Amino acid sequence: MTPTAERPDWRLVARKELGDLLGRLGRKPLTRTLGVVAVFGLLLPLRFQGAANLPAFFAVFMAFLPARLVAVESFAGERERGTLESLLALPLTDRSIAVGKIAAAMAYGAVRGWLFVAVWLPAAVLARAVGLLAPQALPSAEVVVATLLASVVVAGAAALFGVWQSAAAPSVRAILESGGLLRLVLIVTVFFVGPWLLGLLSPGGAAPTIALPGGGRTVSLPAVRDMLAVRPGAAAAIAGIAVGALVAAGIWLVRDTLRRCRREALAMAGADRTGVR
Amino acid sequence: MADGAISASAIEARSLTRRFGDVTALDGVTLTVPRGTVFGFLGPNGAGKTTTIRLLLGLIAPSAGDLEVLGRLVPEAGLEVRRRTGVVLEQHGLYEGLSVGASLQFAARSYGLSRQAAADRVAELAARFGMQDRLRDRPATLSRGMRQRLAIARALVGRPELLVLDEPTNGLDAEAAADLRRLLLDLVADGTTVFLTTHLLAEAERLCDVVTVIKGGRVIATGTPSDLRREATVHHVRVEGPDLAAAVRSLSSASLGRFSVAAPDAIVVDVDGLDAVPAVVSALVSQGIAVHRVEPVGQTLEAAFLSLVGDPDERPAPVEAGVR
Repeated sequence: MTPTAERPDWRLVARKELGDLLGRLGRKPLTRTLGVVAVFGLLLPLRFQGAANLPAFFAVFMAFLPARLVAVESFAGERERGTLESLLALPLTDRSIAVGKIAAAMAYGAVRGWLFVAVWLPAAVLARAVGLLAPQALPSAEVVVATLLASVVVAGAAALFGVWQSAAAPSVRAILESGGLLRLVLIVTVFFVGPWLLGLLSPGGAAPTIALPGGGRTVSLPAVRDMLAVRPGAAAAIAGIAVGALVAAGIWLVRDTLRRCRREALAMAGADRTGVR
Repeated sequence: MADGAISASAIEARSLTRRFGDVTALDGVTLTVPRGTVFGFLGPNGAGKTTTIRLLLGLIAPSAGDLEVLGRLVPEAGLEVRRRTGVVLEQHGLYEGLSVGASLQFAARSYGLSRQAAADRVAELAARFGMQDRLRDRPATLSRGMRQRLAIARALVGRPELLVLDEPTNGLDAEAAADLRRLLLDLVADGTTVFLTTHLLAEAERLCDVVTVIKGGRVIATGTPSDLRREATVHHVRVEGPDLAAAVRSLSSASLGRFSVAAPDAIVVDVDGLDAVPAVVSALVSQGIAVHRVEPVGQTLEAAFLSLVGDPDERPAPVEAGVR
């Protein structure tokens, strides 16, 4: 009966996810990006003339946030809209559904980050040409490339974590209401305290020096960098531990996401003790 | 069943049990669905119908017992079974952001059709369901009946051997429901097996070759609709006489049993069997009430179902059952 000319895989699910998402959102992603670019891509560099790399943080943030929101919606949103069981009833493997949803959220986030860069750079060049921005307010090519790559990596991490949460959650609201304070602290730390520590919010681009309590000692990122430069062994150890911890966390998250994305787990998430949702 | 052999049954469940913690949703269900039939699966809310559908599709595993669908064990061969099965769930599961054409195309590709084969199949189904002009439209712009048609078209996209329908005529007008019935009968004539849950028992009566009634996770009756009507333990008898309704109000319910007033000169009495009719007449006559006519009321599947399920709160007034 069924002609199995092609084995459906995660790309089919990813295309469906993106098609459904864009169909529901319409032009909102573009208008939102333009709004964010206007505020963070142009007004902030005008205020912080030496902070050429500041908009790069927001480009990565623009990749992170949509990827996370799409990923959080991936299963919990389908559950709420009553489409999940129909999806699970299709002859798609558990893995292709999970990977397709992660890939869609990651691609959407990365493209939103790139869209920010694509709008920000020409606008910054134009603003520089008419004398609104100082020369140092334009980023280097290395920073642009790093921003594009970071958008993909951050969107991927946000997508994976969001799908992991979504697979086991009864609703999107349940996810958004859980761990709200921790999430806020993380976002503020990474995207707002980070630029400040790097000196991107200083008019001259200098990193701040923070006084430690008692003893009159101070610390700053350049001082830490200088200290590690004279102790390469310690620097390598710290880098190794950090990378190892990240890889271990990533492997655990991938495995647990695939476990949560098994059909029975997906079908029963959010169901009551009689199996009814 | 050995691989490669064609089972005579589309579905074969043996002592199928599913527990959720300390709650037993399905308790030793054994049923056989012959190929090429419309099989009705009836039961009140919470009876285990949804759990059974989830088991059939391999979405969940049984706690005990065996389940064979299209000759393959489920959930072990769940992917293959889903490839040969079409499903319309009560919530249609249509994507708001995808057009009619994109929804069908996605379903067709997920059944393994190539891009061109999927496009051809979508065009064929759109023509069959009268949706050629709506392929670019979103589900939200379709009428309820049209959305149901889209859901059914999507279920048929892989040319399924088994079609699972959960309350398929919910919300359809009479014409759309009649269209659906014709479609199902055409499919069955082509060899498709239809597994149907519905709360519209008149629907089951018209469509189903075999009906199973489930309650509390257990099968309580199986047979053709006419078998079930015959087996029902509660029957209704219409009794007519001058001013009968006014006269019986003075009687205690103990002397007559459960009855309702159908008209000023008629009441309908529940009886356990036709053997009990003389006792009813005798009770009336002994009270000096004239009886002119006594006749059994046609037993519907709905009345039979309610008698089997045995929930007095859900039992319609006998007068309603008799009128149907």
